[in-house]
Amino acid sequence: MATRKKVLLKVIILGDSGVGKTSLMNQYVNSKFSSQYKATIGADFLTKEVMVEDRLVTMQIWDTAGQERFQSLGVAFYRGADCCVLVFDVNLPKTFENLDSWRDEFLIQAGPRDPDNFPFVVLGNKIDLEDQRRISTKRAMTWCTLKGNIPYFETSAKENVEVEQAFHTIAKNALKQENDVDLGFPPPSAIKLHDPPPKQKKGCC
Amino acid sequence: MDALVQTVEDVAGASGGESENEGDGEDEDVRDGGDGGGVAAGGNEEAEEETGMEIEYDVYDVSNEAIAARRRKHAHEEATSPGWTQHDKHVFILSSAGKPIYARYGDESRLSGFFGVLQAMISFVDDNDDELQHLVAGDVTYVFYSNGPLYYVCVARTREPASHLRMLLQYVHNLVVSVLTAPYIVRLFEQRPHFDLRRMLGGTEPLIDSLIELMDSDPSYLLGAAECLRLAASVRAAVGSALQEVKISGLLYALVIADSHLVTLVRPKSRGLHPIDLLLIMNFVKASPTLRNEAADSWTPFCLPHFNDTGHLHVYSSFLASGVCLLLISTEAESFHDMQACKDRVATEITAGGHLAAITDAMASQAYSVDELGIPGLLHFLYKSVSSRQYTAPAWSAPYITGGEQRRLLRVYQDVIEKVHTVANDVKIYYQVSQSETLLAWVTSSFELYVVFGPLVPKKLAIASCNKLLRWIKSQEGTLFILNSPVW
Ligand SMILES: Nc1nc2c(ncn2[C@@H]2O[C@H](COP(=O)(O)OP(=O)(O)OP(=O)(O)O)[C@@H](O)[C@H]2O)c(=O)[nH]1
Ligand SMILES: [Mg+2]
Repeated sequence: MATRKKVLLKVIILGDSGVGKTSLMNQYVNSKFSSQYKATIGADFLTKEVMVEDRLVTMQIWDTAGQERFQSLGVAFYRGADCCVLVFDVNLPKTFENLDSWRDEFLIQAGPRDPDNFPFVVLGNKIDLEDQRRISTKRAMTWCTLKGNIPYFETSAKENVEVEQAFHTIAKNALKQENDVDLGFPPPSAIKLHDPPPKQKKGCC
Repeated sequence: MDALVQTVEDVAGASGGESENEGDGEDEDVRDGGDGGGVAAGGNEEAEEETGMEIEYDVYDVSNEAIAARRRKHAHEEATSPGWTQHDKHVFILSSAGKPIYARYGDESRLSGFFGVLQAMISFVDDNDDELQHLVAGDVTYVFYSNGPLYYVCVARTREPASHLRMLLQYVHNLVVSVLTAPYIVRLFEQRPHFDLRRMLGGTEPLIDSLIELMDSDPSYLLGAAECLRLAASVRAAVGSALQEVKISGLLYALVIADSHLVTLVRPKSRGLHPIDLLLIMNFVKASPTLRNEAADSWTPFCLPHFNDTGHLHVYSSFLASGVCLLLISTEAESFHDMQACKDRVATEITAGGHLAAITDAMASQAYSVDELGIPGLLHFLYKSVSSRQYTAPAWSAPYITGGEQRRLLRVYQDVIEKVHTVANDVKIYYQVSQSETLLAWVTSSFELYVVFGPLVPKKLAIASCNKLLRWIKSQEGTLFILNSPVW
């Protein structure tokens, strides 16, 4: 009965407020950018269909609020994610330093089975603001390598730099994680006639 | 103690206007004195519903073709499609991670954002150690039901009571369990909360679609009871004994159904077949794409959630004639060929005796009409035998000709059933007058009777007519119900 044609991936985007999570998503899904800042309240959800290695994949993208006062959606929110995207602003060191706590928070809340191999992707955003840059590529890469070779992209939501490529890698890595499911799983068992009935309510007739 | 009568006079859809008279003595002549007591919550909304917004197709065509056509027609809708928000009744299944599993309308993948919102709502409340049950926004009711790792959500503008929509969601859950079994669902998600359950449920959409449609048109679900084919008692008995002779190890139930009506059922002495399990089987026979052409015998693993939700049984099904299906339900996966041999014997026996012809005749000659009863003003009724979980109802007749009218009446029944069952103390008799009909509900420990008269039938006459109706049902009992189901 297994229908292998459809795949849906849950992708969660985390990072400090203002780093450009919503903007990246909007650029990717709607090819739009606005320089006006509107804080995300709670979470936004977007859907994007992509082809990954000959498979049609639906990405269910969960854009969360970076501002603490809006982070009230509960533990269950992170459950069952296939990939987690960590975003920082290359011009603001604090947002980079906070990646550790975003990552830890995610691993605690989502509790993936194999935390060491859970797919993360790191995006250093706003690289269009060249002269203000504070976090070097090298520094970001070092952190990513240390955390288990997390893929790293330098993006600009504004100028649409590397956005497509980043999300393609996100989809690809999420799909890999999702595919693990196929490792053998025994189907439900049949009932033996002499099994004790676990519940017996009044029947018909 | 007085039987208790509640009168609700509906004032043309205005919100207030109701008056309640408790036990005003004039119903002493009702036989079942019982222990009256409770008062149903007042209010009669039924006159306000259906404010003219008819949908472009007849929702009441519950044929598989119509259901499939509907699914195709709306298959590409997403949350922003015009019309998507206008559907009467949405049903969604999602995992507790917020991944879509089923949407009645639209492409669940493209609706994944909407599913995310639903998950966020549920988990927000969940986080406060509370459970989101339902909420009302304007004329839309959201009802939530969660069971283990699965969430079920209904979004309806039908003004049905939330309890009924919740029941719909529970039926849908039972259907999911019938495919996967309860512990398997839990195990799948325990090990991988991100699991995409569509993989395991792929192909069952027609069954879920059909179940939802049937709940809007078939009183069986409302009553939690099965309807028997009206048939000479001798024919029913003969079919029963033909089935009783089937002796295969592992065989649990043998039954014959005729277009979602029960002909007869043979069961182990100690294990009745729960009506919900039976309704799931009937829905399966009706809507399963593999059974649709009625040609081939089929052998399907099937979990009966109220029998045992931890494992599969095996259902052998074979059509003896158009619409007439023999079902043999067994614990053994290997007995397909034995079953086939048995079917041949049963078919031969009931064909030779002329019983199969009697069944197809009974199917062709419509159910009885209310006119047959000769009770003035009687428009429709539902009678449920509580102990046997079977019910009977007349064929639809004027004024309930169109699908819309039939559904309206079902919703009136639904409303009244809700009222008489949700009060702390049993309401024995409930009397309701609206612009379009008079309804009398009478609930005892052995039966439930819901009778609809024209709008101007006074209470006294209605009660007398109910007594007459009960006498008629008693006289027809042998043809309307399975009175003694054969056992082995
Ligand atoms: N120059 C430049 N500005 C950007 C870029 N990406 C986002 N911005 C701007 O940064 C501000 C914040 O962007 P958002 O996408 O709303 O940030 P966010 O991470 O979603 O913030 P929260 O919702 O509060 O968590 C907006 O004014 C954007 O226009 C970028 O690549 N370059
Ligand atoms: Mg945002």
